[in-house]
Amino acid sequence: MKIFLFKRLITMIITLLVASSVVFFVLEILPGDPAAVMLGINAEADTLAALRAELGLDKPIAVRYLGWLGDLVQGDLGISYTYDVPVSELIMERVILSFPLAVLSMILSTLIAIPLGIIAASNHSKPMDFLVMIFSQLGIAIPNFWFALLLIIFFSVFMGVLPAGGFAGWEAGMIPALSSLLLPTIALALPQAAILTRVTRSSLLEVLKEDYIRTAQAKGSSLRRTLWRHALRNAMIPVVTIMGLQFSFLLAGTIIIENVFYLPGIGRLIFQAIAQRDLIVVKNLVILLAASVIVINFIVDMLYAVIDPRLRGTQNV
Amino acid sequence: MYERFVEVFSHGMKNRNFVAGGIITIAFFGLALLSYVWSPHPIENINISDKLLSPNAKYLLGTDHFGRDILSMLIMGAKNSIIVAFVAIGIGLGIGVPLGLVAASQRGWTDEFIMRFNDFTLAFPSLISAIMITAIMGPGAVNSIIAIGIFNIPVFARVVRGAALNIWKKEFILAALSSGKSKTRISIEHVLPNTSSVLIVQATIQFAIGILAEAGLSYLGLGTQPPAASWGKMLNEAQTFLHFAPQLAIYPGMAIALTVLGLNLFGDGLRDVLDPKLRRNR
Amino acid sequence: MKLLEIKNLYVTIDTLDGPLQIIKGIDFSIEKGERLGIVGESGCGKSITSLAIMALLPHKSKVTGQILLNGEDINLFNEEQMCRIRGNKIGMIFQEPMTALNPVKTIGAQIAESLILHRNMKKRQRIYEVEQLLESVDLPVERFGLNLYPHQLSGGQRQRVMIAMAIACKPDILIADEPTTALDVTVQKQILELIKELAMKFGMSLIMISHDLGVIAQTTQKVMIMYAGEVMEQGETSKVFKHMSHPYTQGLFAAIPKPGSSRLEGKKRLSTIPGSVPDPTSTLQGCIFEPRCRFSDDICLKSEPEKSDISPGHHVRCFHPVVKD
Repeated sequence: MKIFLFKRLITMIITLLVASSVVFFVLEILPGDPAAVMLGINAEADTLAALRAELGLDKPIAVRYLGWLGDLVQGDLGISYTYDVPVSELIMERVILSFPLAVLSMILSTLIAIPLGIIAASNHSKPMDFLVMIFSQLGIAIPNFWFALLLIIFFSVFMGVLPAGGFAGWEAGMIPALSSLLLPTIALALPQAAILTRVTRSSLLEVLKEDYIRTAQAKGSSLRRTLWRHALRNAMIPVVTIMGLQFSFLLAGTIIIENVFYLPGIGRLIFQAIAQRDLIVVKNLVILLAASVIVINFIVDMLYAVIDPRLRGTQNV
Repeated sequence: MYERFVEVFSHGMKNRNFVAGGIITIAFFGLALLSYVWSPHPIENINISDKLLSPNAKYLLGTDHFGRDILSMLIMGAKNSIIVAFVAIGIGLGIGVPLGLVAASQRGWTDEFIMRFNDFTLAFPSLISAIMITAIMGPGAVNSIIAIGIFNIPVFARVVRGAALNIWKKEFILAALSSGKSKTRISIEHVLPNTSSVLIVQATIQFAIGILAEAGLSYLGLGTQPPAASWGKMLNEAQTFLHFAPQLAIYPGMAIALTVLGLNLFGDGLRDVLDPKLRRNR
Repeated sequence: MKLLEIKNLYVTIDTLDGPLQIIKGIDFSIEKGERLGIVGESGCGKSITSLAIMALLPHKSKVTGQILLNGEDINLFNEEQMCRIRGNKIGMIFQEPMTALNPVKTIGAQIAESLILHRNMKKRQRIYEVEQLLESVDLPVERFGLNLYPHQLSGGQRQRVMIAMAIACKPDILIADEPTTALDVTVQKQILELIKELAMKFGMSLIMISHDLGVIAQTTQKVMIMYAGEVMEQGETSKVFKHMSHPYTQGLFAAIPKPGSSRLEGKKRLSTIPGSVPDPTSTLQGCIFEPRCRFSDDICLKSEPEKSDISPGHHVRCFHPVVKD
């Protein structure tokens, strides 16, 4: 187990390093000078020079990369060019919205998908299975931002029960804050739930064909009991993989969904920073997002080991 | 070739997904082709006096805030979606397939390098990167095609590599190798044709993903620019008028959902028909 | 009353190309403590027969005929009633020890499962029972704790765990479906001995399914030779092996390599049965083995042979049984 953990940690650190250099060099080799990109075409010569000095563009590229890495490790993400506040502060303000949003929709989609997948698999080829598959196909086909608009039309325009956008802020209290996150959470969760339902179902059906399922039944375990006690845990391995992958889709989803609902979160921040060419914010945000994806994948790998004893690297007798 | 087509088609007619998906897909392509010869109203025509009309005899689905015909815009939007998704698949196939073939034929560190690069690209949230690309290179249809296309590359590379690895194990490949053919020639002459079914199925799925991605980018204002019509852009504009004209937000979304649904069903059906071994539980 | 009596058993499976008859009316019985072998090529229906008894065939299959366990027709039982039979009255050992154990559960939990399902025991008593079971299959608890996972064991050790699972409730009947086919030759003999020994120790009847005549000879008292879903020959193992009367049985026996007759030294080639198992979709008239039989003539083409006695307790279904010199 320790060796397994150690190996995975090393791979994770290498991936993080590669990710950071890709982000850095892609933004670096872009046509034109970052300072000019940030200031736009009409920039004055001396403003440009000042910004270049501030960005350290006069130093060699390797020095700048290492300097950036060093700052990152120390938690110093620089100062946003457009907002004129530390990037870390900017991110913290936004994370308190985006993180709960992502986690809530992950929870919601899991709560929908796993029971639906189990229902479909245990009623394989029956009407119930067919209904669940229709739901899943529709959920995959419907773009989440359109679903968000439909939710707004129904709950805000017609019913008038939930806000159409904006965020009340946590300081306004749990109820207003959560009610402004409710529709975004549902909109984000739908496509995830649709995919996860499908994966749960097919994974369960696959596992139900395994020899050890027949063994369990030969011991007198009923089909229902076999499904819960023997199949489910084995079927969770691909499900957890997809959940890990979905996290990165969730991050992308927040960009669009936060724009639909005018929520001041990470997704909207990155979108605005790109639009305003605030490369310092872009660079640090992208690497942080990439890092969170990588860390999530690491956690997923750890979860595998919890689910599947074969991965714990235990010795043979 | 012709016999194979007939065989696939006759098997397909028995498959529920294949038929339903096929009909929707054909309707969608038909709509897009129609736009080349006819559309109810030219969408460049701004007619403010006819703005935000409900569906009527002249404008079958009503008009938007500029008085443009919604039906015509949907038809042009179909064309736009097809072009973007099609070219993006072209990029994915053109670069991804050779990469996958090389990885499968060379193995060793070449394979390792290509596959790790693949994993890496796939690990990045693709929309974030697409947003970065379009934002830096400027918004527009061409750049959104490139952005979507780039993320098709690792998908096709992986699929082709997987299929090719199986084919490299076959005996007829060994026979070709022993007759002195180069790996490159074998890849092109023997391996590639045998990966065509997985490629076709994956292309259908990527087509659907491409349409969703294009809609997302144009919704954010990073994709197709006006006056060209795009379903995502239409939804973006509709959001402003949700309170007065919610129907504007209904049609383009239905168009996207229906098309993607059709393509996905068609892809599922096609997979079952082309290769029973790939059959999944559904 | 016989412990288990199978009467006129038919198994039909629905396929895309229509229904397929896999077992075509077989009869056999087994007394308490008796050991029966079922032999045949792969695809002859020997595993299907055992799964039909356990009612573990895929849902698309239909089982007709009577399966009398202690005089009660368990073929009429519903799923819930069958759950009380499986593992409790009839235990089963499967072929593939590598895949037949759940990879994410400890061997202790998997052995204890039958006890949980069929015996009302306190946890401490259950642990003691599982330890006893492990000892009885020669997996000493000091070395093989209850908390091991299947992947930590070798193939032979896993098969011992399978056996411990199958006998946990001391069932009346133990079915072993090719229990040694997937194992190393050196381990095979030990496992066979263990199964036979345990069956005798606990007074369990044994149904040993194998394609290997040697395995049957070593472990059983009665034998049944199956071909394409039908019984070709059955009787006491010693009698059948002495006077192999059906041409198919003879063919099976001749196909076993014997020491000293290898192709390198000897002149004789290893004999094979010409042709292959008939396609179950074809509906041939006459004797099912006719196309591959060297004694076939007109009558074999026209009608199906009935059971005939070679000696008391030794039947064969053939128009031209081989009578030994």
